[in-house]
Amino acid sequence: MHRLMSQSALDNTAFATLYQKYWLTVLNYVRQRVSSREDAEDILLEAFLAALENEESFLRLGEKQQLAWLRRVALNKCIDQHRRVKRRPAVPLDQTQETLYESDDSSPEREALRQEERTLLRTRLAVLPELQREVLHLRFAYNLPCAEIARLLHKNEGAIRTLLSRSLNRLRAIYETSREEGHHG
Amino acid sequence: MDKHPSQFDPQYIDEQIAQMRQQAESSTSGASLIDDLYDLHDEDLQIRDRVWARLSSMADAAREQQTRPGAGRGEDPLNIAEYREHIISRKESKIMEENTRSWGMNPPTPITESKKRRSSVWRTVSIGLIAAVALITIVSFTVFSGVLRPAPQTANHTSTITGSQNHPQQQSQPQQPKVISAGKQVCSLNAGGKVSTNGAPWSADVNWSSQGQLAVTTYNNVKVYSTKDCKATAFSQPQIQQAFRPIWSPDGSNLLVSDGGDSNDYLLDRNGKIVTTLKGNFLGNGAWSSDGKKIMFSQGEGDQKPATDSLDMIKTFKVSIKAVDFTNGNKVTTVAQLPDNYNVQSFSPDGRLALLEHVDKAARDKNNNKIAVWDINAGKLMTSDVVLPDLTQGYDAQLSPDGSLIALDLEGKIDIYTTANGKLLTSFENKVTGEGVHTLAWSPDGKYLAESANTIKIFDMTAKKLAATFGQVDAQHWITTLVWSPDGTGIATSSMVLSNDQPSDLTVNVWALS
Repeated sequence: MHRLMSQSALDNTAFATLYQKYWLTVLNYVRQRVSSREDAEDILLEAFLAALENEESFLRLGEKQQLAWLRRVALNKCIDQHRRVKRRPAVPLDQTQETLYESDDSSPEREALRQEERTLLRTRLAVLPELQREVLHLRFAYNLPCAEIARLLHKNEGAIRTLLSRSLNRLRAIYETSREEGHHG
Repeated sequence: MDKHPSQFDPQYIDEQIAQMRQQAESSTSGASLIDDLYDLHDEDLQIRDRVWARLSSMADAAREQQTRPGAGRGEDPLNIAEYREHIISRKESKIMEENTRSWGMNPPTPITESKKRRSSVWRTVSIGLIAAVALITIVSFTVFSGVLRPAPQTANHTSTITGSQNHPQQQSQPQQPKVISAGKQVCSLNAGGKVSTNGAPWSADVNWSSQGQLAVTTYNNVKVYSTKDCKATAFSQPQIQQAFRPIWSPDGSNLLVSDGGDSNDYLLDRNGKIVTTLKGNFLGNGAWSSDGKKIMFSQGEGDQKPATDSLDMIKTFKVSIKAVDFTNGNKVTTVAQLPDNYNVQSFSPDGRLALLEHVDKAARDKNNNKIAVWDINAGKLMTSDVVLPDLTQGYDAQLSPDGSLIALDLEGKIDIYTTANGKLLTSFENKVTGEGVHTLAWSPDGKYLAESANTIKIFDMTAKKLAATFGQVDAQHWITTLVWSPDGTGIATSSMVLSNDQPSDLTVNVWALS
């Protein structure tokens, strides 16, 4: 089944494994530096494309060096992106079209507040310690229960439960503060 | 807006998330957070897949060019740079989407080129690519985990385990060997094939009853085996999928199982019949009470709990230990009200003690935990405010049965601290090759500590030394679960393969200690 569907030259290669290993780390790194989701996606692509173009030498690097190399490329792309934006300011499309009027029931003010919360959440997520990010990723991207996350990360289940609840309680403060300000403002 | 949101609680965090996800429309701060977290992480996965599809598209185009007749040597590296034209920025693709209303599954093709090609062909190619990408990324994700395969151990049905089968209706008293120096395999069983969900395999959980029965939960079922010969018993298989965390009642007459699929807890009788269903997995890491009639769990007292976990804003909060009585219509009673700002981390397996954390900003700022031990029967603190290294940083942390010690499984060592004063009692060197789950389990009498990773180690707490090492798995395998028999004469483990691309089975082994 897997072989039948694997039609790309890249499937089942060492590069595919490396992509799976580093994509989230690099994406989080980029997201700390650019605000647009689409720009982040493009920079992620550029970074891995650069690695693909230099595949042979890239694969010879050690794990830390590979990640450092990808980050360096991503950082350069982020800087390029900022230069471009300075010259040609733009509002990210996803901020204008996808979320502002998601629901007919929602007022523009309400949707703007939700968007603000989401953006702040994204910012906070990007700067969380690696382990917390990983736990949140496994919980919300893959919908895994704590018991499974603990197994995957080789941790005690109680520790994962504590870590996850602490992370969520901290992140929820974003919404409480935002709504209190909205309420009083 | 919820003015007094309840705290996310470690004990039932999975259930709270599930509940809030269903209440996404309620616009409470918690529900909005959960909704957004799912959305943002889903967005990340979409980015991952799109970027991979775009990389694959370019690599394929380069490959096609390379293999075209007259294109030169087929052994040359792919000249990806030449196919940069296949890249189109995500922003531009969004514009295309707006323009054509048909972007959907189309590959990232420059506008000029896309005009030349028939969209149906591209769509077909793209669907194939994206499907392949989705599949490979799901499979690759198991880098985190491992795929299940039987440990290369042959069943040996010659040894027997004493004690546990001969105590009907009673919790057996610890009768473990006076000195443990070895472990011998009694028998081995295959608990079924690997099932992966969302790219992660479910391993087998095991629990050993005082009746000498071994409950084994997997993604597909709950089964019970004899610990004498690993043969399946007449226990009927209840329709519980994604089962985990089996816990026998002290007398072995009931089995509590959690279901990760429907988020319910099920109480089964000794024959496997469902006696009662508790909706919402609210028991969390609960434990049977020492009289075996109730399951204890912890619960925060509504808005008394801290509004945030930032700790510099912390308010006083209260947590109770409660119990659900299965013999009395699942009636919930409060067993104890904990002192302010104490939260339950875990219950001891015998239901007599609870490990608490006294939430304290100063301790957490230094990456420490202030812990305490609560005596449930006495209804009071046994020890309090002992500062230990952050329990979440190690592989595992377990309180000894009498509550006097706590074992922390750390990188390269296992540290034993006293709960009375937080002193490091002893430290065992524990070098482990490879990366996998580490499990700690105290013997029922607390004289030994077992640890599993890629082998099983038994530490003698009296002599403060390694007493036995056995059950080493090969480099491809890892031990994921370890439990003691209630009488301390045996151990059961489950193991799986760590490789991410092999079909495999789950293996459960029973060991006799001598």
